[in-house]
Amino acid sequence: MRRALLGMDVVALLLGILYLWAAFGYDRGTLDQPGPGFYPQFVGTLLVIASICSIVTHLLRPAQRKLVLPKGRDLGRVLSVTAGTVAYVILLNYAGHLLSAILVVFIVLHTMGLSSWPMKIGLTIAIALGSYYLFDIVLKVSLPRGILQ
Amino acid sequence: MSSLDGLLYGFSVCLSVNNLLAVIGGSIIGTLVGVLPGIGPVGAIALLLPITMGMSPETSLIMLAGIYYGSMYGGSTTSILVNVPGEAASVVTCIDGYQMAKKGRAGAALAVSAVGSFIAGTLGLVLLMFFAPLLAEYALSFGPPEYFAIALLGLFALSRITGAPFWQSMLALGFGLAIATVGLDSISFVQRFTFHIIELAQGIDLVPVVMGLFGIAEVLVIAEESSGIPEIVKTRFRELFPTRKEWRRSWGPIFRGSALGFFWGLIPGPSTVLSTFASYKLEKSLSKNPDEFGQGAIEAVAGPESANNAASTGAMVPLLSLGIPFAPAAAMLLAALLIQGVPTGPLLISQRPEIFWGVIASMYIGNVALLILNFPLVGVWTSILKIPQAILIAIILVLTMVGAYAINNSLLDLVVLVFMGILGFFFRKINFDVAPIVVALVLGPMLETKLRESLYMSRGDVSVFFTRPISGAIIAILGIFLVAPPLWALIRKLRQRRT
Repeated sequence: MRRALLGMDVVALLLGILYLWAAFGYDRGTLDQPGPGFYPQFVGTLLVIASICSIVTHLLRPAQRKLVLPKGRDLGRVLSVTAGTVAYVILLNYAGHLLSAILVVFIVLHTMGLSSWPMKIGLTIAIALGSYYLFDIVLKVSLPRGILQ
Repeated sequence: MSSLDGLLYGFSVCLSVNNLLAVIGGSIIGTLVGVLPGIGPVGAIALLLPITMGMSPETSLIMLAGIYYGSMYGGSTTSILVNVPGEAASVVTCIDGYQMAKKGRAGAALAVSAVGSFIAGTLGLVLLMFFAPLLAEYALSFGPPEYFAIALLGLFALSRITGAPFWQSMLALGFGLAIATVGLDSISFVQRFTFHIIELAQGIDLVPVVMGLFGIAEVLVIAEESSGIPEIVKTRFRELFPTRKEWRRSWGPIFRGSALGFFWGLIPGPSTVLSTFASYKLEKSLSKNPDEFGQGAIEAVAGPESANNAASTGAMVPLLSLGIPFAPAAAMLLAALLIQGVPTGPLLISQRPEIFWGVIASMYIGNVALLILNFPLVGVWTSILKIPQAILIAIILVLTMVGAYAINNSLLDLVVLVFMGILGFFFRKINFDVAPIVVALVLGPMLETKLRESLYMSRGDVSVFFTRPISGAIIAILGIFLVAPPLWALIRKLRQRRT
């Protein structure tokens, strides 16, 4: 756990430095006329100080709990669901909502252990069509149609 | 408008078909969210926010508020019958509620919990009805320094109350505040931190961040754990009535929990969760038989379950009267108002009375609906736990993603959603509390605007925050919040060394 916490602190510190560096690029203005860079410089300083103090705290005090990361099948399920969501984002504008949703729902149902194939296929189509009906037809959100256009 | 007139007006708003459906719908969804382990009220509100955009502002808020307080009712069911808290505010109920179930008193625990929640919700509403208009009237005299001080107190007090290490909370706060600065500066119209990406000019929306941190992260946790269908303690309807002795032991904790919970709700932080721990401790210290706690004491169910309901009502006071959310769920309700273009703050009551009084009246109706939904229909709710997780996850995932896209029809929101989801999963693993990120993201723009307005107003004189009585007092309270805990720890250490 300690390594993970320290890793996060270091990433936060790097992001904080980057943010602060970018914040200094904006006009700070004066105390009576604060500019767009005035407040971000405070926020950046807070990020940097908080991450440094967090690093020191984690170096001085070892973590009480052990980090338990998913392994084996558990990791497989997490990665598959993540891959499904990423695939949806990448495919949405090309394949459209319906086909992308079919893909992500099928991946989830399959990796989460739904064994019956007719059930898997039926539910995949029902959930994807249901989401299309709710958002596109009922709520009038124009979802991308992609190649189905 | 007096409180009574306001309430009657609220009922006239609330009794339209659309609003009644919103109350009932919100109560049902809230109970469902409470029953199902995983998606909590924040994730559920974020999930449904896009759906409510087509509704009128009052209907939208009535429904989303119903989800918020409804989840407090539903959370106890799984805590008592399965020993799995449906949401964080029901963790304490597991301790004695499940022990009662094992002893064959599940019905009594469920009944006391439902009745306690109803009483607490109703009492909390009476207090809300009187407190919120008073506070709003008082807040009309507030200027930018006062709002800046309140927002600052909200942020830093939250970091002190959550129980997470101080610097970790500060990091989360900084992270949320930094995200809030992305986009067009509202005063100078300069683009900040957009890296020439046009879509970033409108800023990073709150909803995909919350949906990711709470919704997608939760889906990933469920995918990892993928437990089977839980073992549920069966309860028959005729067993739902507590004995006279059980009722007698419950009244005190219910009323104490209601008062305690309401005032916890006024304090920044996850009040619904913390109020349950406070109530449990209080009841244990007052009990003649403290040894029974942990073995199935009915007081340990009645008090905390009343407290979390009253806290959810109390949290509506700063939200409706000042337009400042002190908890992530309240932040989501504020987001619902902002999306609809409703001006928030102390003028909400006078300018949009249909929203303020409509929501309050809906909460009275919602509490009655929830009592009916949760008391005799307990079997229906527990049967939902038998639905395979694969199906639930698939539905939640698709709705979350389409919902995030629907807000601005923006692919960037989807990218933010997935990124925050993965980040949220990692944060769960390292026990990093994400609540300050959400509150900072909501309060960040207000904090910056009010800081700059205060400095413009005072011509750069920083003492404006300390010399004005209200902002000065709030800053003093903030100082106590920040200094007192480490000082107290130091004193205790010194005392221990001496002894």
